[in-house]
Formats: sequence, C-alpha cells, structure tokens
Amino acid sequence: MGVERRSGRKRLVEHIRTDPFIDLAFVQPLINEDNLSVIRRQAEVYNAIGDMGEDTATFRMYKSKVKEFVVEVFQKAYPRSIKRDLNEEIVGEKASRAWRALVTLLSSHQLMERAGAGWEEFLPRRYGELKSCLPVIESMVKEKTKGDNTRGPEVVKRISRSLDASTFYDIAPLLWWINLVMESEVFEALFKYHFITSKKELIEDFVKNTEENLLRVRGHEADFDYMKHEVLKALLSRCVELRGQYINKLQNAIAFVKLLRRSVKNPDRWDWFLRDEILTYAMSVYMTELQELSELKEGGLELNISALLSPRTGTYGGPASALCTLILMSPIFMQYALEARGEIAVTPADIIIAVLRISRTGRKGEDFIVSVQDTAKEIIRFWEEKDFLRRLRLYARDEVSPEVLCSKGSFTSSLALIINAGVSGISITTERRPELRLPPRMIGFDSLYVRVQQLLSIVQRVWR
Amino acid sequence: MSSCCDALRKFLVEATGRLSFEEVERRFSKALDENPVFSEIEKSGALGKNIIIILGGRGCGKTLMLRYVKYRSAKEGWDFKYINGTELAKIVASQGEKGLQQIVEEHDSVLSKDPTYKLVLAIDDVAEAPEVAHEYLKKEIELVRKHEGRFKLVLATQSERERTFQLLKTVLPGAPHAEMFFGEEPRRSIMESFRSSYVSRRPATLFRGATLVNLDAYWSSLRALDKVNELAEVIVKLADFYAKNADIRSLECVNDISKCKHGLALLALSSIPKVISDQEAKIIIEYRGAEPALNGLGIAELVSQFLADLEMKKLAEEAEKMYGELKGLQVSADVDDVKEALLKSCTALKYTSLSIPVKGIVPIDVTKQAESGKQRRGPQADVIEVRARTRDGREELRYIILHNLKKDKRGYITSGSIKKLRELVQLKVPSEAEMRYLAVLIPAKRHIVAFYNALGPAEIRRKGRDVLPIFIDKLTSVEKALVHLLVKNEEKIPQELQQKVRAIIIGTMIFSLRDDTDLPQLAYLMLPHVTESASSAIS
Repeated sequence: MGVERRSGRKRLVEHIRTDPFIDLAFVQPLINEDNLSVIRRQAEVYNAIGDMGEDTATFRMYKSKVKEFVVEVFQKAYPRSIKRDLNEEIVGEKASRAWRALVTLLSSHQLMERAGAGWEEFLPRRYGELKSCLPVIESMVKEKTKGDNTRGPEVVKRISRSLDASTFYDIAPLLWWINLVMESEVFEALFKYHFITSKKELIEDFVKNTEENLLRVRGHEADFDYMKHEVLKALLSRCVELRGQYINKLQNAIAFVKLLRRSVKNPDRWDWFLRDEILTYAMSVYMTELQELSELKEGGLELNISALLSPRTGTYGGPASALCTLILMSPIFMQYALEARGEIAVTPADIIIAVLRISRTGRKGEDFIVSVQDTAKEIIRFWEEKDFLRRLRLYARDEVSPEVLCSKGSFTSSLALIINAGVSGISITTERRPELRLPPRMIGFDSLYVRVQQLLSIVQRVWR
Repeated sequence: MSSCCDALRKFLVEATGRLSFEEVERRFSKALDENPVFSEIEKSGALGKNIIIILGGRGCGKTLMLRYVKYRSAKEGWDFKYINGTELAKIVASQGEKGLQQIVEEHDSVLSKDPTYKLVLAIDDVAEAPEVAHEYLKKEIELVRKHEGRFKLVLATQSERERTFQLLKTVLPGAPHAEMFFGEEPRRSIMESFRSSYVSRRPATLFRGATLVNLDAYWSSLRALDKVNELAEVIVKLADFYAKNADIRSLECVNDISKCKHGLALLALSSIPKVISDQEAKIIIEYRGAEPALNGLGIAELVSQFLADLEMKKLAEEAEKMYGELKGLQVSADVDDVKEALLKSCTALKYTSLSIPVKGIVPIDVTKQAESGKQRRGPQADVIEVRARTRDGREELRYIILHNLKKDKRGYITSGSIKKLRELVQLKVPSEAEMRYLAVLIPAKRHIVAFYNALGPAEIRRKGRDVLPIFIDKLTSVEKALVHLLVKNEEKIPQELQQKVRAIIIGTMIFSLRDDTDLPQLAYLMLPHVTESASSAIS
C-alpha cells in the first residue's frame, strides 16, 4: 500500500505556480525606463531605511496590470488553466517577489558602487543595466510560449547554448536570483535538503549502519556509494514533497538555477546536484549557520528567501536590509566567480560567519580584534566543516590557505561591501603593519575590530 | 555714455571672454591687493599651504586667482610656473608619458641644486589633463613632500567637470603622503569640504599641509538678503579694481555704480545657483551657463550691462529704491506667507505651482476607498511641479508638496495641521522613489516635536529623505520683508522687477530655509542641475 499525502496539502511543485518562465513574465514589465528609475531609487531607500516600496503607486499600478500581461503571454502555453490558476493571491505574491528581486538586485549594485569594489569579482559589471538583459528574457518567454509544448529545461538549454560567453555570464546571475526569489518555497524545500545533508555524520552513519546491517543477509554486497546516492535522492524527494519519479518537476521549477551552469558538464543530471552543488548549498549553509550563530531563539530556522526580503523598520532597518541582500547574494557571488573565472571567492557571508564563530569560541560576546589571517583560517575551518571545501575544489583549482584567501581581492571587496552597507559591528584596524587596503579609500589594515553586540543586533534584524 | 564708462565697459567685455593666463596677467596687473575676493582668501591663511586646490564653477575667477598667487608669491621671492591641463594633454600626445616625467625631473633637479630656490607650480584646468597625467600629478605631490616649504603646487579646476570628482576622490587621496597633506582620511576630508563649503559658506578649508579653496563658497557667503550691504561693497570694490586695471583715471563710472550699489546687489542675487551631483551627494555651485551667476564673471557682466544699458540702469535704480524700503520694513512672515512666496516664486525657474487634490499627483488606493464606502479624492495639496534636466540631459519630474505646521495664538502647533500631515504621509504622498517630497514648513526648531508626533515611530525614518522638516525661523528681517511684499503687496513691486523679486526669493531664501541638520533641502530639490551638454558646450 502506498503512503498517501495528508489530505488538504497541495503539491509543492505545480506547473503554473512554479513555472519559472511565468516568473520571468512577471519580471518583464518592470524592466522599462520609467519603472527601473523608480526601482533604482527604491533600492537606495531600501539600503538606507529598509523600505521596499510596495506601497508606491508604481508598484500598485504594475500589480494591477501584470496579470493581464502574463495571461496574454501564456495563453498559448496553458490555454485552459492560466486564467483560473493565476488567482489574485498568486498574482499579488508573484508581483511582490518580482519587485523585491529587482530592488535587492539593484541595491547590491549600489552597494558595490558605494564601496568601489566587487565588479567582475562577484558579479558582471553590466548586471545593473537590466535593460540589456531584456532581449534574453523576452526570447526565453517567446520560446516557451511558441505552442509546441517544448519543456522548460529544453528552452533554457537551447537559449543558453545560443548565448556567447560574456552574455551568458551577464545574464546567469540575474536569472539565478529571479528564480531563487520567485520560487522561494521550492528553494526553501531544497535548502531543507542541503541543511540535512550538510550534517555529514548523520548521513554517513546511517549509510554505514544500514549497509552493515544488510551485510548480515547472505549474498549481499556492500556498496556504500550507491546507498548514499539513494539515501540522498530519497531525502531530496522527502524535502521537496515529490515522489522520486516526479523529480523532473522539481527541475522545471528550478530550471534557471540548475541548468544555467557552464561549469557542470550535464547540468540536467541529478547526481552532481545531490552531492556537489554549490549555489543552493551555500545559500542553505549560510542561512542556517548565521541563524545558529546569531542566537535567535524563537521559532525554527527560516529558509524562505522572499520572507527575508520583507521591509524592515527601526534603527538598523537600513543596514540590516543591505546586509540581508549581501548575505543572500553571497552564494551568487561565489557561483559567479566559479563559473566565470573558475576561482574561489571569499563572500561577505563568509566573513560575517567567521567573525561570529571566532566570537563564540572563547570571546564570550566581548569586543575583539582579529587578524585577517585568523579570519581566513576560520573561513577555511568553516568550509571544511560544512563540506564546502571539497565541493569548491571540484570547480576551482585555487590553492586554499589563509595567506591565499587574504590576498584575494574578494576578501577586501567583501569587507568593503559589509562596511559600506553600514554594518557598524565590523571595522578595520592595524595591529602590526597595513598589509591590505580597503576600497574605496584604500585605507591600510591588517586586522578586524569586531563589536560583537552591534554586529549581532544587525544580523538578528535580518531574520526578525 | 561718458568716455570713462565706455572704457570700463570695453575692458569688461574683453576681460569676460575666455582668456589665457598670459592675457589675464597682462590685463590684471594693478591693485591686486584691493580685490575683495583675494583678500578674503588671503585672510583665511589658505595661500600659505603647500598644496592649494582651487575649485569653482565657470566664471568664478580661478585663473585670476592664479594671477594673484603669482603676484603674491613673487613678492616673497618665489618663482612661478604656469601650465594648464590642455598643455599637459598636448605633451602626452607628442612625447608620451616621458614628456611629463621630464617636467618632474626638471623641477626636482632645479630644487635639489639650489636650496634657496622656491617654486610655485600652478596647473590650471587640471581636470582637462588626460588620465595618464594623474601619475604625473602624484609625482609632483611627492616632490612637494620632498622639497617641503620650497615647492608649492596650486591646482585649479572647474567644479562642474566630471573629472574633477575623479581628481578629488581618487587621484589626490591616492597620492603618496596624501595623509600628510589632507589628514588621516584624505578622500573623506576633501570630498566633505567640497560638499559642504557652499552651504556652510566657508570658502577655504585648511588641512594639514594643503587647502581647498572653493571660490563659489565665497560668493555663497554673500548670497543672503542680510548681506546686501556687503555684496554692494564688493561690487563697488570690484568695479574699482577693474577700473584701475583698465587704466581709467577718472572714477566717475565707479561713483555711478556706487550710487546704485544696493540695487545692483539685489539684481546680482536674482541669479540662480546650480546643482551638480555624483552618486554620493549633491553639491551646489555658482555656474554661468545660459543664465547669469553670482561670481566674478556675473558681477563683471552686470556692471558692464549697467554701464551700457539705460534700461538696466533704471532697473538698478528701482531695485535700489526697493531695497531702501525693504530695509526699513519691520514685518513678520508666518509659514503661510513663506509657502505662498515659494509657490509664487517657483515661476522664476519655469516650474509650475498647483493647488490640487493629492489624487492628481499620486493615485490613491481605490480598493481601500471602496471598502470604506466613501468616495474620496484625498486632501488638497499645494505642489511645486519641478521639471528639471538631469546631468545627462534627461528630463526629470519631481513634486514638492508644501505643508505648513501652523501656530495657534498660544504658540502651539494646531492639531488640524498635524492631522493633515499624518494623513498626507499615510496616503503615501511622499515617496522618494517616485520623486514626491513633502516639505513641512515649521515655525521654529522647538516645534519639531509636533513634526515627530505627526509622523509617528513607523514613518520617522522618512525624515530627511522624502519628508523634510523646514524651519522658517532663520529668515532674516529683509527676507521677511520681501516675502511680505510679494505675498501681500505685490502690486507695489514695479512691473519690471516682479520676476526679479521671485528669482531673488529662490536665490536667497531657500538657503535660509534649512532642515534640522542645517541643510538647505529645498535648494537641492529646486535648483536646476548643470547638464553635461551645457558644461561641455561652454567649455
């Protein structure tokens, strides 16, 4: 007898609700000169006071018209169900996510401009010019709605093959981000999977015990790798609430994140994603680790990205919003560095996690000064513990040592982004001699001065 | 016109064209000590520093200032060398970077050979120099450190040039020993001085071993109606300075000017400053574009027109008369008067003033209204519609919504005006992203509490962004008198002066209307931008 899903629960992955091409159609009307100028200014406001601008007339007008636009575009692809399935609630939620995705994307753009750092290292220089991405978005939507029942993943692969390298790397981070924000429930489920698989001992002990028990059966041949693979597959199915045979529905929902990869030979396969994925794995690890380090006691772990992108008020509203953008975009920074240059990057989230881990081990919440070398050592320790390092080494040939990490431009750029975002808990200082220079003023430093309570209160505001 | 007036006018016409340094040097050789701008800068101690940065919009007198530096340093035994950015570009084009290297080596060797030799190197229009010359500049700065006290570097550049920002943000702070000259955080100090000098009316900022002279800030210190007397004196002194350099024996024309000096000062105040901006901040400058400016060039043109044009003379006389009346007038102006004056005056900038329901500028959420069952159009608002060109020439539409916090007889803010402010904020009338700004005119700083109460804790973060508290208690008695005249007795203003009065209000009063952090927020919102096309066409 099969195990039935509890009644009343909808399946997480539904064809209209989780079609990333419909998500693109929601984003498309926002990318015009008038709307973008409002969104650009809203991004400034978001970085300063945490207001997302969902009460602006521009957003309200967009929201009132977007359904009509999406229905018209997707009428051919979903002739019967589109009007019915796109109810007010879904339209409102999708419109709000499309808005938030663009505001935060441009807010990170402004943070980079302000810090004078991060271009090309973390994201392509042109990523703030959203209008230049419009033709690719339009062609994707057009291809999907041609009416020949082409599967979403096929469209993504076809379009991505047709793009030259620079256009591909310009557009990929934008599409990853849109996919992550718009399908945040699906990704939340995926993050749950990564969260559980990041507990290496748990999985390995289970695999080992099970195989060892099976060995008691005559004729059984132990195959730990096979067992691990099946366990991971089962865990993924459980977390995303899909039976194994429907796993490609998940692929449809996360098509941009999973398939827009040039560093992976066959991105539509699942084995690499189960074991060696970086982007979503990093997102999950950063979020869980930061929540654990910031001593948030109420409720469980929050892994829903679009929930984190809600407006914030109060004293730390602005810096917390800017920090939230930086933390959530850190995995994209990392993935972009791996894809475009085959290099490892130190991200803002890595630095925040490292200093909070250092503060936890022995400093007991007191303010402290830590050298950049010790910070880099802690980052490596964190990467090792969380099965990051193994994954990173699959995609990059960089030597990973504290000296190499410190000398990376991405280390100082990440620090510049954090400091320029107004995160007052971290500042630079010189203990011995100024070995590094912090953009944009190129001030020399060799250590970080961490005011733990200030830092914690801002990090906590990201989740509250 | 008398021959002396004719000679002075001719001199001014020739002197206000674009002159080379040699021309400036030839034409201005007398009475340099008597120029009021130079003596003000001299008094600040700015010229004693090793690196002097001179900034200012077009027509502020940078090259003339260099002429003065030459004159003054010659008296103290300094040699003076002048070069401009275009020449540097030519050297790079013909000899490459080697040519620039040679110049540095020349300076180094001559200073090393003779320990008594002292040199001032003035680089004019330094922003015009190509990017490769930035390394050259850094080397010259290194020489200033090496030959401290004997080698002085004077850099002059136009504020509105985009490369000026690059010079101030990266080249100078990135120079060797920048901390020795500009303090621990060179970039912050230099940019802070550039940003704030105009609004704080401080022309010279002294750093450790360097100074930044913003000539526009000298003029901003005179851009106030209570400074008309001082400005009038400056105009007369400048006229005298020009007359002496024009070799005019009789000072009849200067006497003529002196008779209408207050009128001329008022007309000079009817010029409108401009805004330049980068990603970090907005900066106000005096800039002679298509319209006149309050700076050296602006005064010279005004004097020249006064001497040549009878209409202008008549206008100055009328203005002189009006100033006499204003000076004696003791009137008060409340928030309503100030609002009225602003709404009337914005026509001087070709902006439109509207009194419309807020629905006319912001679509009110119709669903909410339907729920409440009331057909509402929202409250009435007084709005200035600003259509301004941005730096890159795009037209931008901004709305400034004016609201008053009114005082009752006992001096408390009326609950009605607080309620309306709250309602405007709740209806999302102010929205920075959509460029609608709510300027709240408040009688005095102590009434800020009412402003906070109206906003409440949830919206207080908007303060200084799209909800701007503007205090009117800094208005001077002459400003109040002018507001009173425009609002209550407009018919008494001579027809030909009416538009000028509006421009004077914009050109002066918006600098007295400041927020709680002492920033003239209305000026940033209302003043036109220097557009790229305008700045490149003129230069």
